[in-house]
Amino acid sequence: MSDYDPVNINVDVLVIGGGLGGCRAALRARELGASVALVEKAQVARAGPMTYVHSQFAPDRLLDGDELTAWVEEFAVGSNYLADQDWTAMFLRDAYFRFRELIDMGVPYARSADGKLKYVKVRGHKIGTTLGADGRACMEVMRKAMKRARVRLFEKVASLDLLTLDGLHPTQEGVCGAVGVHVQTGVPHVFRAKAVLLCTGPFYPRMHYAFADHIPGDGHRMAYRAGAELAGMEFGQFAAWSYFNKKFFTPGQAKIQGIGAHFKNSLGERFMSGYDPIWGEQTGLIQMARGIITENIEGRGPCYVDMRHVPAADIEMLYQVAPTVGRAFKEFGVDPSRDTLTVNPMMVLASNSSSGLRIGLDGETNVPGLYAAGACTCLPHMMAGISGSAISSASLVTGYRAAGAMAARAATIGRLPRNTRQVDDAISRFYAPRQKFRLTRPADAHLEIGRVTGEATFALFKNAPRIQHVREELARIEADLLPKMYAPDLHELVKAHDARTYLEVCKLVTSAMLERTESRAELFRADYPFRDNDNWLKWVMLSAPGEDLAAPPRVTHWDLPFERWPIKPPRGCEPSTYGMPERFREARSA
Amino acid sequence: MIEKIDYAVCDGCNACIDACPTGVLTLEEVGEPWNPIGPPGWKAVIRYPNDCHSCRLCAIDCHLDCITVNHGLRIPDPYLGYEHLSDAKSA
Repeated sequence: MSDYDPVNINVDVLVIGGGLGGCRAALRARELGASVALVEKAQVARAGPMTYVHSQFAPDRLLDGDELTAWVEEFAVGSNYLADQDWTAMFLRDAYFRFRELIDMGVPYARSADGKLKYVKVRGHKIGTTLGADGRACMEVMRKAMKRARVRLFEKVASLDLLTLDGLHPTQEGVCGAVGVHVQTGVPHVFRAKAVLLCTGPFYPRMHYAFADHIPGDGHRMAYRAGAELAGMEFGQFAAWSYFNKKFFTPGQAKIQGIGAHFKNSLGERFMSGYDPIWGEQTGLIQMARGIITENIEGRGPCYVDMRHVPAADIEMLYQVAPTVGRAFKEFGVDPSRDTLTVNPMMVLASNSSSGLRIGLDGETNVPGLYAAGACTCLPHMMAGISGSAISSASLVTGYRAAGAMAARAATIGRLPRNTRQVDDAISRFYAPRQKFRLTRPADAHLEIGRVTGEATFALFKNAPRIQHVREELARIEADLLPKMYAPDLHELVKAHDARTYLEVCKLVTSAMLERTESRAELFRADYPFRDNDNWLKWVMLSAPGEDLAAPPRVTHWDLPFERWPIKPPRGCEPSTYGMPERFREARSA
Repeated sequence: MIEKIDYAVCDGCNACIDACPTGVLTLEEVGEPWNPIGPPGWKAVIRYPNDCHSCRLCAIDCHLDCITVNHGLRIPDPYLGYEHLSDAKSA
């Protein structure tokens, strides 16, 4: 247990996560007169992927009629027809207004010489428009606005678990707050709130990739424990291709693809159109990585990126909106107008922005009082989609809408319970690794999870035995390694909590991967190497099976209602474009 | 990852410690016999270098520009092992 008395906070609306969606929701709830607390594990404007956002999907005009349908189609096709088309249409119309507001608030979007907003092209969109923005600068604006609006800001406080009205996990009655702990002082924080918004972002392993290490999936885990439905977990496979010259990584991949970089193999062929005939070099990260890996496996590597033909003005724009790219190129003496760079991919079990809470139009989940926005949701407009820039935009739109629903709910709820037992349990679990047996460092436990889930044949050629093997390995780590984690101080306690969180999310991802017996988007199954539009145009949802949270999740499906949607998918099966050497087809490991 | 903090320059303003999302840095009194890594005073110290994920937020926020972060990311090996699958060993 903690050595401190907890800090108690009572508010109408609690926002967990200080990214764009969380901040917009907090501001909107204040506008509507609710009292708001925002809790952030790191610091607002200094945390999470939003700091690295360099482009935001923003319609340049209010869409309607046929034009709206055309934009919806772009998302529907990009998502392999899994997008919720009602949600997408709402998103496309709302996003216009939300971005007008951000522009008025003074977010410094990229502008051309005459002062007009510059809409740029990025990966995943041929007709959709995108604003170039420095995410960090955007969040500075939001942070100042929150201070002005008197949002109660709790930074460096990690949320551990949700509190429920009936005191149970999973809950039947609803969510009524959260318990957290200050990561520098260890002081427990107990938030009691009439509505809770999760805006905790995606989940990543500890892979030292710019923004990944402190977002292990806190929101996914808390929501699952509370009984919320998670959708699209089977697409929890993230890839990056930007390991340049085997020396350095940079974020900003969507932008590099967007300015028209060419990707070539050792024969000088531009190979991506062979893997994705529709999007070619504008395709998603996982498709890029798979393409590059397949070229390597089949002996046409190493692959490289060629930006020599890109106009200097576009390179300048790239550096402006993604400053890390410019700095990294400078540090390693790379001049894109002269040099080509070899690219190497990595693939990890992580959110590719389509794995998370199932939400409705107002960000509501199936648990009363629990709302979600942004990358911790399944992002209904792009389930397994390829647009990187529409994640922060969706967060903005859902956060705003959820705030309205939460403020309305807050007006109808009376006194909240004290939940002493839930608070004590969460704090005790957090402090448990402060034990005597000095056996495993949290970082090593985390790396062991990475070794299991990042194993190459599993990452590339999933089949039922390989997925099952990974599930057994995760169970072994959970039973043998996690209880032996030793954390001598608060810093390590947080890391131990992160490792446990990531492991539990990985278990959910592998459950869903077993369920979907086809290959679609991020999920490639060697035993089902085809896209099956006859049987699998549906979402796979996981939820807690009952009181025993360690039992396998309950699996349900949602058949998409194409009969009332404008965009109809083609029927039938279609083989996957990814090559697979015969020796990987059956064996569990090569 | 984070390489070094110039302790001769650092004034212990805490900006980098606030900025670091993974808690790599702590504020410590250095220059004492038990902590002789720089001239006396309160300084930001790289206490948990292995938790750095090279986001550079500390270096951007340092008003004295005394933090060095290089781009040599150390992606852990489990996430980068694809070469051994290849038919032809590429260079």
